[in-house]
Amino acid sequence: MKFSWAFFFVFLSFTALAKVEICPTVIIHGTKEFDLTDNEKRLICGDKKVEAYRNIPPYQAQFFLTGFLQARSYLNPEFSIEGNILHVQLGEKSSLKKIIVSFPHDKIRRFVRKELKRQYLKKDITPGLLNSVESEALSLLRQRGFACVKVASRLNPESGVLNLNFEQMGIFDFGKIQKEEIEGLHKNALIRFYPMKEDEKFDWRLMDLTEKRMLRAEVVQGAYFLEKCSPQGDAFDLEQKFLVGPPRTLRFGVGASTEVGPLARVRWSNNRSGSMASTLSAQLEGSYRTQSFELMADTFFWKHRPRRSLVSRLEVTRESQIDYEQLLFKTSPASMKWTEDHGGHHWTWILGPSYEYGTYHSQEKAETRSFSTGVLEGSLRWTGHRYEFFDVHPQEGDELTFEFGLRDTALGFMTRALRLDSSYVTVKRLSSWGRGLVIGGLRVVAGTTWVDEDVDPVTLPPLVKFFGGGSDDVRGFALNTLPKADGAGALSKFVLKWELRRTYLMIPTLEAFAFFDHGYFGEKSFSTLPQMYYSPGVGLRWTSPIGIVQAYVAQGKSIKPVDDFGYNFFIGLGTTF
Amino acid sequence: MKRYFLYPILGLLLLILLILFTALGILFFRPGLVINPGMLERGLEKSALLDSFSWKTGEIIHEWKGWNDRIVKGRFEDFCIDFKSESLNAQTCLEELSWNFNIIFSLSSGLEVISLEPLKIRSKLLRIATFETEDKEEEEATPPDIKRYWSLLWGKLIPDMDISWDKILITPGTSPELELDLKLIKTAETLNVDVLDFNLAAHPQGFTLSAPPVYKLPLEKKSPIPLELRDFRVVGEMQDQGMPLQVLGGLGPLDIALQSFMDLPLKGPFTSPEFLRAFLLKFSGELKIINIKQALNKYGPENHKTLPAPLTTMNGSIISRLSTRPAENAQEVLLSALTTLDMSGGKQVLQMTAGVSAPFDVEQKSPGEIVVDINFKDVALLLPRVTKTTSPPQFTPDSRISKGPPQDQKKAAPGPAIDLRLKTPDQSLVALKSNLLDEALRMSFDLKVENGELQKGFVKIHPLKTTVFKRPLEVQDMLISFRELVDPVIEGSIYIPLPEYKITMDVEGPVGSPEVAFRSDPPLPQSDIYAVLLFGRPMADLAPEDKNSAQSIDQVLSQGILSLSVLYFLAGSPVEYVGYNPDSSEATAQVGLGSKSSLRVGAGDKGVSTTGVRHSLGKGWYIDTSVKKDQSATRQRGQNYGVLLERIIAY
Repeated sequence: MKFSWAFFFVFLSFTALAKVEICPTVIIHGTKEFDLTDNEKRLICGDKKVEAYRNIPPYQAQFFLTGFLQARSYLNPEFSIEGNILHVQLGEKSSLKKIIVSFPHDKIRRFVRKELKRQYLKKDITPGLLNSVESEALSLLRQRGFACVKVASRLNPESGVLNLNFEQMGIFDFGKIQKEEIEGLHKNALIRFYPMKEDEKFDWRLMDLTEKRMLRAEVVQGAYFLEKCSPQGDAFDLEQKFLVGPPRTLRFGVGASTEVGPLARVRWSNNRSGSMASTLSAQLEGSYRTQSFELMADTFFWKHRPRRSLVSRLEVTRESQIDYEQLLFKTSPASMKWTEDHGGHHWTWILGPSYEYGTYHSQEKAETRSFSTGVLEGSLRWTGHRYEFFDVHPQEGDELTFEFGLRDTALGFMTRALRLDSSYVTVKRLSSWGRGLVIGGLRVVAGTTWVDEDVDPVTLPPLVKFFGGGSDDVRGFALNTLPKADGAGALSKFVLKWELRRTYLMIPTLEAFAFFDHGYFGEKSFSTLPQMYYSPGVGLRWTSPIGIVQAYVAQGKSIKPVDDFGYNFFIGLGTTF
Repeated sequence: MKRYFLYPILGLLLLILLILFTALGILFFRPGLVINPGMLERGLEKSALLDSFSWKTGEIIHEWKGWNDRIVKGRFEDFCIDFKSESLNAQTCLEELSWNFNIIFSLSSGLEVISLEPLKIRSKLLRIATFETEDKEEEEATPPDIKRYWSLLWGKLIPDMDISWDKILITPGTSPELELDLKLIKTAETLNVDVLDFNLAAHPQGFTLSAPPVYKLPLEKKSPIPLELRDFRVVGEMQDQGMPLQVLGGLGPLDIALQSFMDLPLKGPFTSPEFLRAFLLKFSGELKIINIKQALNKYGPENHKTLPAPLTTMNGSIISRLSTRPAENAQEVLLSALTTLDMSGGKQVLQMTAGVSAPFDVEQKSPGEIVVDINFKDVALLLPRVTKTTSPPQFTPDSRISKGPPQDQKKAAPGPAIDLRLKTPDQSLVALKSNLLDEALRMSFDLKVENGELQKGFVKIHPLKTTVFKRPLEVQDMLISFRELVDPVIEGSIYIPLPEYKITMDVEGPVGSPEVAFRSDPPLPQSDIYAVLLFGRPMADLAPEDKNSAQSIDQVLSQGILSLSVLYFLAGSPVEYVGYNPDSSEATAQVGLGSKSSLRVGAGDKGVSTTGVRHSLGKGWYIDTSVKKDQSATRQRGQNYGVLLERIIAY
């Protein structure tokens, strides 16, 4: 025992005596290993190549070194100067032990504190960490109307206690936004891009979403908001400015896609046509599986109804899938389109007539058939702003899509057919797990084509039928191979997809996920067969610079009757849950 | 009134007058009967003016020269006195006390004292002790009449004097004892006083107070620097309406030259606003530090004896001129100081002036808003040499990390408001030289700061041509504007002449998150110009020595944190460095892969960004693997991913 104590004290002595000589004028005690970057060394030891920085006085070296040590979480160093030598007792690294949030609203204070603790507690303290904490706190508050809120943090390096104090805690609506005028555009032309209203509570994310919408539509090259708060924080104004670029682009190229194989594409678009910034585009695209030509005009005629437009489309598509082939000419001369932002969601309605002409055949029916028909089509999309905020891989929010297409013998179709298709997805942050989040997702897909009972589905063209399987459907099965891999398709479909994700798996951009997809298909309208196709699976997603790369393995099975379709392994670009 | 009362009263009055005139007559003709050592002793005893007194020998002699002309001379030996009061004790023994005066009276000149011999005092010791009384009531300062006192000093009644105390010990309350000596010689036309080594030489028209050539100020405990006065003197001139005062000399180690001119009013209450205003309005001065480096090196506080880098190679002077002038408000005086800093050396220059002005309320005796106007006339400074392959360090300690108690600004005593203006005068530029730039970064600015917050102004970066990561770059008119209550806005353009495209990057918007738009010749859409700026060749083609950098790039790309700010750094050639700090999610990249490959990646934060890679094949052709999200509500739910060879033109 005595030996152990002796060893302990000897060890302590050696530790205390340990030192690192950064340079002859700066010595760090209490550690055997400590390194600084070349830039840092020059700033505390001097730079022989630059006369003005050749000699650094010890007090200046101490000043610089304090900052360098803070950046390495050494917040309690002790300095002493002997002659021209700076001695530094390094001390221990400091970690964040407690966060005190001073905010008058209890509910919000608890929420902010909880969120900050989840993300930052026990982490080594650096100025960068303090920046992150302040930034996150402001972000959370500015989502809740506190437009002018300011934060000041103060950290006690000895106790590791961080105090966050807030000022200017007034809650504001967006109010009237002073928008910069764009030459040639009517003042109402861009209203359709704004998700917020004047009397809506301030949320910085909606400003960001406005900018995203404008950039996605390429109507301007850039947009930004200027926020103005009074010194006391009791008044708030918002101003918006634009960077206006050229409205037209012409692009043509050749390539390949994970879904359609090799492809070539020429696309022209004018994204700011006329005084209401209408969109005109033309695209010619060809791949091994599909070839298409499309003309589209989304014209905003009504200056005082800036969210209403007339969509005209002409499209020629040839699809050559594994088990069926289809050629389609389709024109929608005048579909009405309305958009609205309400209740935290973006609504889009489209309704209008179309004309279709097509030929098709499949493995089941090798004989080529044709059809010529008028169609009354409509759709409703309901996208949560939170969902829309994410460009690639939503982590929260919901979206509902409903589409219908009515074809009838009176319009030239072979039978009366009403195709109804809907999809609803909701994604929610369930809890935190380490530095990451646990996210739950549910997607419901329901669709049916309403036809007379005596109609043989095999005789119908693929565009009024439903298929399943693939990376964005029941994932244990290959693309469009459900219910049968014969191209016959189904008249009804009901799919439920469950997914559980854990983000920040070792690195921020890697997430793991487990899922269970199951679906029913039916050969008749509004009914499905008892056979349930299901596929449990696990996978990884990586947000790479070129998009989401995901890999998963899933088992394709069914009950009633029980069947095992084996494992389906997938790796590819993109994801749609 | 009865007459028999009147006669006795008149008789009594006549008797009193007779006695009085008799006494005056005796005093006039035989003053020695009244003014003599014996009577003096009795008088002092009766009056109890002194706690004790004594003399060894003493005599007072009166000589009659005429009815209006007398000689009075006296001599005392070892005349010792002990005076005590509540606030003062004084003890001394005058070894010699003598005088010989001729006192003359005439109707034209009045009473006059002619010194046949001066009043002579010789003493070895004077002890003075002062005490603070508990019930000291503040008395209103009696307005001194300096002019009257001064005239009195040179008047006919003040005789010549020759006074000497070898040692005067003063014990002011509980403070340490002071020791000094005093020699005073006064004639009708001159006054010469020597105290310690100070000398006061006066004459009826003025005076000169001279300090010893080097006088160390007793401020050891209050000042870290041992201050000493050098060739210090105060010259005053007595005039009818005032006393112009000139203070000349040097202040010890810092080589501060003192030269102050003030015109003191000679009459009036010193504490009154009128006096204060008059005093301030006639105040002026000048402080000089002739040799900053030498002064600091010789007398600077311990461990602070040299200037910090990059000023170590510079030296110069600081001259501060103090002056006052009337303010618009009658009860205010405008105090102003113009300080000029002039330093140079080691190919660096630092010339600036700082004008400080503040109104002083003579009623409230408090300063008003302080206006500080700093002009950077000629500034050329070297920035520290920074290695291109590492991110710049944290130069200053973070003030948020502090062991002290949290500062409560609201509870802090409100000081005077400070209005600070920093600017470069017309045609003047601040030049900062860095090893990262081919040319000095030249900028001009005009910034107004009120109470520590930047209110309005601008910073303008003047045209700059340089090469960064082997790519030429021209900054064209970069302007950062500050407006009250609004985040600062940056506006400007950077021209990047690349081999195949001439790209102009327009920057506009809040400094924290500016919008960046690109123009190119020949024209390309903005999103595609990003591509032109980036990679020169694929990763696979990298030389083995570049693999490490490539792995770093992989890491950065995998984090999805490449943003526009990084694109520029990726534009050089060849690969130099990519760094990423996962804790702060900050990427620093200095990469060049040639001029024909490019990358387009949006800022990544929680998966909300678009990402994509565009590989240039030259002549506007690219391989694009970017994500395209379908905008139509009626189209397929999925997203379209692909690799596309594209030629893109915007117009």
